[in-house]
Amino acid sequence: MTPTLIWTAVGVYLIAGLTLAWLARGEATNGAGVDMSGYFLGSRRMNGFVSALSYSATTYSAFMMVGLAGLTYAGGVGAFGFEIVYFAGVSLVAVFGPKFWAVGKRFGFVTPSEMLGHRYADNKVAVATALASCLFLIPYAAVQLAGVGYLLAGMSGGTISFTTGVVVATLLAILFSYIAGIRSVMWTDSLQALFMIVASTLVALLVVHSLGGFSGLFETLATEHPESLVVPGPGLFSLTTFLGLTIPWFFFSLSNPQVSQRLFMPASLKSMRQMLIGFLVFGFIYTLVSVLWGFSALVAFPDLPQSDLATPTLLASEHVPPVLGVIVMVGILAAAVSTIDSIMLTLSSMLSRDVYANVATDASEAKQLKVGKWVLPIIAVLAFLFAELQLDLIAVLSVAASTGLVVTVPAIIGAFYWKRGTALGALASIVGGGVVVIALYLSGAKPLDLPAGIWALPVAVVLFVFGSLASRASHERASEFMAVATSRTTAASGRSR
Amino acid sequence: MPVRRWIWGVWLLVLLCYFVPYGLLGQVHAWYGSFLFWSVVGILVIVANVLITRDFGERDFGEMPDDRNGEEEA
Repeated sequence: MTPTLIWTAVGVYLIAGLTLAWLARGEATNGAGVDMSGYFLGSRRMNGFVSALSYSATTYSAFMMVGLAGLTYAGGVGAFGFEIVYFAGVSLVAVFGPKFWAVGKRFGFVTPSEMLGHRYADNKVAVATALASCLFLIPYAAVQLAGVGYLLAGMSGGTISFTTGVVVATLLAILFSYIAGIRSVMWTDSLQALFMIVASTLVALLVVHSLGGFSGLFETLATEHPESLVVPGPGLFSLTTFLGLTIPWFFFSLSNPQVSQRLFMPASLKSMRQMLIGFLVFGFIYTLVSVLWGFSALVAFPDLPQSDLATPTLLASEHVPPVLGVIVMVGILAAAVSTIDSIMLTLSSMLSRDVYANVATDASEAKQLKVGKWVLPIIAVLAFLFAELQLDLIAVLSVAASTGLVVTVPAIIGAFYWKRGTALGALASIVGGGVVVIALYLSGAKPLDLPAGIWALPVAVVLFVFGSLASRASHERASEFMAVATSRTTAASGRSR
Repeated sequence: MPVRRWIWGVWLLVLLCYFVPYGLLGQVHAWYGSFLFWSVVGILVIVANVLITRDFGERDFGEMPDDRNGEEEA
């Protein structure tokens, strides 16, 4: 693939994205009276369709078309099961979404960590949650940036350097999130989501067709790679590995602030419903498509030295016309950028709202917003430097991201369901659980031969429960919080019966 | 069946995602094995969520002072 073709495609994508980001500017995010909730939450007035596409683009990173296809190539159908368990976990939005939404509206929360700090009546909980999110998500964003670097370098045969690719992705992420805050992120996300799904589905249809259609593909798999159609299959997806991967990812919609913050934003619960159902339809198609890519690569190129080469090899093969190949390349770039910009925006809101505002005296809304806007490019530059340095520790933290963030789940669920939960319990589970996860990943230790992904949640639950029981709960705060969270649910359920 | 109860159907499906492919379908080397099972689970999860969120209305906090009814063309 020639650099001219690649740069032309990237240029078209850049112009379309920037135009849309500019058009997204509005009173809520760029007007004279803009505040934190305006810039970071779109004044809690986002509609369902855009929210659904943006939620999809934010959730699905470059991992799907490269990583999941590779996982399917290496481990067979177990990769599909892993994604389906994650997918089912998004149903947590149906349970917790209205609760987040209700308390967000009543108390004016901008970030999920701010919500925890309020519920447990201790700002340290908000600070700890915000810092833990940064610790795991900045390296995760860095690895996404590095992925773009490798993609552009690989597809241009090295003519476009790794650093150029990383710089392009970093600049795009900064611009898409800076121009109009959450509105430019969501509008560009929507464009990128449509691009991702159309391009990847087209490739899957073409490739599967050229391999003898759906029945031909699966007949070849059944005869030449029968193990790829069962679990544990070729060996990658032993039950413990499967559990270690699926347990943290099942809670992704609660544990990852860049998606849980979205629960504060819909204009109404009807919009939230559209967001959830829209995402599920998108996610199901996208998951199927990515898995079919992996299977197709296994049939067409069974002897690749590395499973991560499945997608690049497929795209460079005679099964995919070069123009479609470059379109998919932009689709993967879009998938990475749409995830990174949302992470950057969420983390900057957390650092200004939960760290700066709790440390500085006289941190007005205007000052918080100013700090948030300053922090945004700093986070981007940090992620860029991490991507360039290619440190082992960054890779470890990135892999540990989903596991590391699951330690916030007991405090989140406890906030809504356990009055006895306290700030000490929340702090112990988030800080102590986080330290345990990092130690397990760094040392490679597997107590009882179980991976860190299985240990993280029970360790956090135990720390949360014992920490809470060992301290005094603020019953008044808990009761008030829970009453607001359930008021809508109760009323609505009554109507439906 | 009250709408919220459907969520238990989802949690049951999640449990089946472990037991069925690793147990019953461990020797079915065909598309109609684990691949079909997880595909059907995916579709049932969508259906369950449609049912669970049936009562998510347009205005649920009409009496709240900071509520905004207008849905912006975002």
